[in-house]
Formats: sequence, C-alpha cells, structure tokens
Amino acid sequence: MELTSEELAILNGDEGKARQFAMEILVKVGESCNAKRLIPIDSVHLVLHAYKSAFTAGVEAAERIAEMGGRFTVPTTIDPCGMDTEDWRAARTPEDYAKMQIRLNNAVMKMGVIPVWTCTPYYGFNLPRFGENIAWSESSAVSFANTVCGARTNRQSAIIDICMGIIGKAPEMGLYLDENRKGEVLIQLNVGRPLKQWEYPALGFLLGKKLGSRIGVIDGMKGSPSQDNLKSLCAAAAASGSVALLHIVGITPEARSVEDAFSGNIPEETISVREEDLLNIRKEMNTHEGEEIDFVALGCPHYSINEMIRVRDILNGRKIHESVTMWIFANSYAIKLSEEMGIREELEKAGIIIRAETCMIISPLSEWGFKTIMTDSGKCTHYAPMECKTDIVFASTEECVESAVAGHVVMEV
Amino acid sequence: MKELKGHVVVNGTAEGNAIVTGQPFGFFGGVDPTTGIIMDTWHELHGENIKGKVFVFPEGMGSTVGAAIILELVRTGCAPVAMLNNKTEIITAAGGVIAKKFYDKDLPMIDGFDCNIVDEIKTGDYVKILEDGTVIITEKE
Repeated sequence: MELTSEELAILNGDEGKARQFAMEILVKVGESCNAKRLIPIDSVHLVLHAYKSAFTAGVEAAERIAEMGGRFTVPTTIDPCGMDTEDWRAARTPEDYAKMQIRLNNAVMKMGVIPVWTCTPYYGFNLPRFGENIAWSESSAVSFANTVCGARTNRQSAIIDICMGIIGKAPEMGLYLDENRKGEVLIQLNVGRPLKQWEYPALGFLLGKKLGSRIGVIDGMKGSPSQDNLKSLCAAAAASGSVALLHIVGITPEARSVEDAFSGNIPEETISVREEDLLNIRKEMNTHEGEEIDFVALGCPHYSINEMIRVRDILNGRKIHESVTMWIFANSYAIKLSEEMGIREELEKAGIIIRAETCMIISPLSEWGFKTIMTDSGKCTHYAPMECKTDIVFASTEECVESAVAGHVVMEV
Repeated sequence: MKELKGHVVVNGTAEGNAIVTGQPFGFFGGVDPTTGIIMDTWHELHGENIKGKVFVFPEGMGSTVGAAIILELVRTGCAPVAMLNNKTEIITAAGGVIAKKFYDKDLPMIDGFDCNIVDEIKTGDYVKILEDGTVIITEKE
C-alpha cells in the first residue's frame, strides 16, 4: 500500500503506541484486501458494543487499545448497549454479564465514543450526506447510509472500526470506489402499488437471500416510502444476506434511473418480485405454528419516535393482554421525545416496557425463558432463533400490537 | 491429490479436514464461539463443528461484529485452522489479522482462486495450506 509521510510517521510510532497499533492494523487489513491507499473518513460507527457479541476477547481488545492511549479523532458513534442502560437489573441482566458490559462501556468511553447507544445513528446526530466517505460497521446502518443517504462505506468490521476512529482513515476499496457501486442485479418489483408496512422488511429478507453481497437495483417502487420503511428493508437485507447497497430507483441519490444505477453494467440476473413472492417469504419467516405467543418485541433496528407514536395510535387506549410481555427498544433520543410528548407514559400504562438503548438480539434475553417472539422486524426474524433461542412470528406492526392485546397471534393475511 | 493457488488474505500454514458449504456464512449468530458448533438454524451446516477444521465457504454475510466472534473462537481454542473463500470480506479478514496481533495465533485465510473453491473441496477432504497461498487437497477415501 502507498503511504504518505504522515502515515509512515504514525506507523513508525512517532504519534504514540495506540496510533501506531491502529495504523499497523489498517495497513494489514488494507493489504489483505488489495487497497492501494488510505482515505480520510468523516465519521465512524462502532459495533464492538455488547458483551453478548463482543465476548471476553472483544472486551479485552477494547481495553488494550484504550490503555495504549487510543482516542477517536473523528465523530464516533456506537451500536446498542448489551443491556438496558436505564435499569439492567430490572431487565434480569446477570451480574457477571453486567460487569463485562461495564468494562466494555468504560473502554470505549475512554476513547471518546459519543454515548448514544443505537443502531440508528442517522436518526439525529450522525447523518451522512450524499457522496460523503464514512466508515461504519453495523450492517443495517451501512445499508441505510449507502442506499438512502448516498454516503459511502463498506461493511466495516468490529475492532477495525476502532482503528479507523483513531486514525480517521479507512482503506480505499469496495464501495468507496465508483466502479464498485454499479448495479449488478435488476429487481423488478411488480406489485403495482405502494408496499404495505410489513412488505418492506419482507422484501429485504427476500433480497438478502437472493443477492448475497451483490448490488441490487430495485425498479418499480411505488409511492413514497418513509425512512422507517427503508430502515426496515435495509436492515433485513443486511441480515439475511450481506447487502451493503441497494439502488432503489427514484430514492437512492445515485439512482435517478435504472441506467444511472447500472452505469453501463449489464444486469447479470433479473429477479421479479410479485405480491405472492412477498406472501411466500412471509410464510418462511414464521417458525411457529400455533397461535400462542408470550413476547412481542419491536425496535430492531431501534424504533423512531414516529414508530412509537404509531404503536400508541394503534393501541388507542387499550391495554396489552396479561399473558403477553411487550417491549419496545429505542435510543435515548427517541425515549426523551416520547417522555416529553407523554407517549412513554401512555405506552407504559398499556403495559408496554420501554427498553433503553439495547435490543432483543444483543442483550441476554434468554434469561426470560420466552418461547415465541412476535416482531415486525425482518432483521430480528433472522437472528432471534439463534440469539434469543425462541421461535419467531413475523408480522406487521399492527398485527403485533393486535396480538399483544388479544393474547394470541392475530393475522390479517 | 490436487493443488490450487489463491490470494493470501492472512498468511500462515495449516492443515486439517475440510468442512465445506456453498452458502455464505456469518459468524455472529452463526457459530457458538465457546464450542465451534454452528448454531445458525437457517444454515445447512447447523449442528456441525468447525473447530480445528479447514472451513470453506463462498463469502461472509450478516453482522459486522463477526471479527469479534472469530477472535473469541481463537481465544477459546475453538477456531478453524484456516478459512478458504471465493471472496474474504473485511469482517472475516479482520478476525485473522487481530488474532495474530492479540493472541499470536495464525489463522490463514486464502481467497481469489481461479475456480469456485466450494466446488473443488468436499467435506472430509484433507487440506494443506502453504505460506504462499498454495492449497493441497487430498480427497477423502
């Protein structure tokens, strides 16, 4: 890799041990992936965030880099915490787990992370612009940043992202380069109407399976999908596959037309998606046969204030059934707004628990012994069988709320 | 016996029995790092163990926290001895690079063969990986 004199000085140890270490890792990874040089990036989003996914090795790695004197030199945000940041004891977090989580929190705080623990940093305080080079991990946020914002990031990696935050640079490769952002597969969305809310994550789940890491171009998206719709689509595609960029014609800034999105590439495959394909994938997304559920979990990725308002509106004063536990996961920004608007109080009166800055996948949920999770998240649908050890029922937000009220699965389709 | 040559992503030498899948693989939610057992219920290798094996899969997928899971596999001694891919993405490569830094353990990774690697090796074949990216495959009898 070609390094500048400044970069060579860092590599030589002129700027301290932590910067030397971070530079060594970046050069090594860059060379592994055939990058020619390092490029400046404007922000970093970390995934070494939860003891449940970092394990002892991850906690020790963060501590060692922090002890060397590692400090972030660009704005650096972080994924959800591995436990409820308001009250981890009430969330039945085991004491030993909490100790390790606190060690991890202390290490990243020491390096200067912005402590809003969330997978949706773009909701408020780390919103990249069109064409901006950033270095984010968190697969769902990467997919959102490339697809919706038109920013540029690869799916960066845990620990490497810490090094990028310390140096403020990333190896130039993959989606930083124009030639690697061209569409590869044409997806003809033949539904003929705006998608329903549940169809966005279902489409994402389907595309993740079909595309793997290839860049899909979606033609035929009708209406005006909300940020929340696009968030759920991107998150599901990044979980069931490794989708980092979708060109949604008319929505993705680089994809004003199909021709724009392919930029001269010939589509290597055309995938047609009809209404019945979405219904079929929805069936595949349910691993539970019966009608009983004991847990309804919303907020993967973190719920926005608009989604919290929507749940309040669907409830319309009703309470959830005593046999069902229902949690909503959100970041401290959305929670603060919900408190000011009186929404949190209304939701809690209905029997819903707001879980702060964590989520069902990366907190020790198995302590609760839930058997079946019902969710509106395609991403949660992918991970829950492994990470929560539960069956899964995927449905619309409305069906999730209605089921929580009824005490059993209520489906419209 | 046959020989293939790939691009060295993470260097080192290793040998062992292969475990092969044609499906992409994500380490978070994919493998229990305290045992090496594949826990992804959506994956065809569900229930198999990658500990001590040469793990062959087309490319990575899913969560970007995968490198931490690979690091924990190395720490617990449950890691594969090597990984062979068509395309090793940064998340997987990072696991190998950091394992060397923090635990001084080699976890060689090779990609970029001029063939589809998952078609060339079968589960149970004995595979030897050399420093220069040469892969020697002895078919299972």
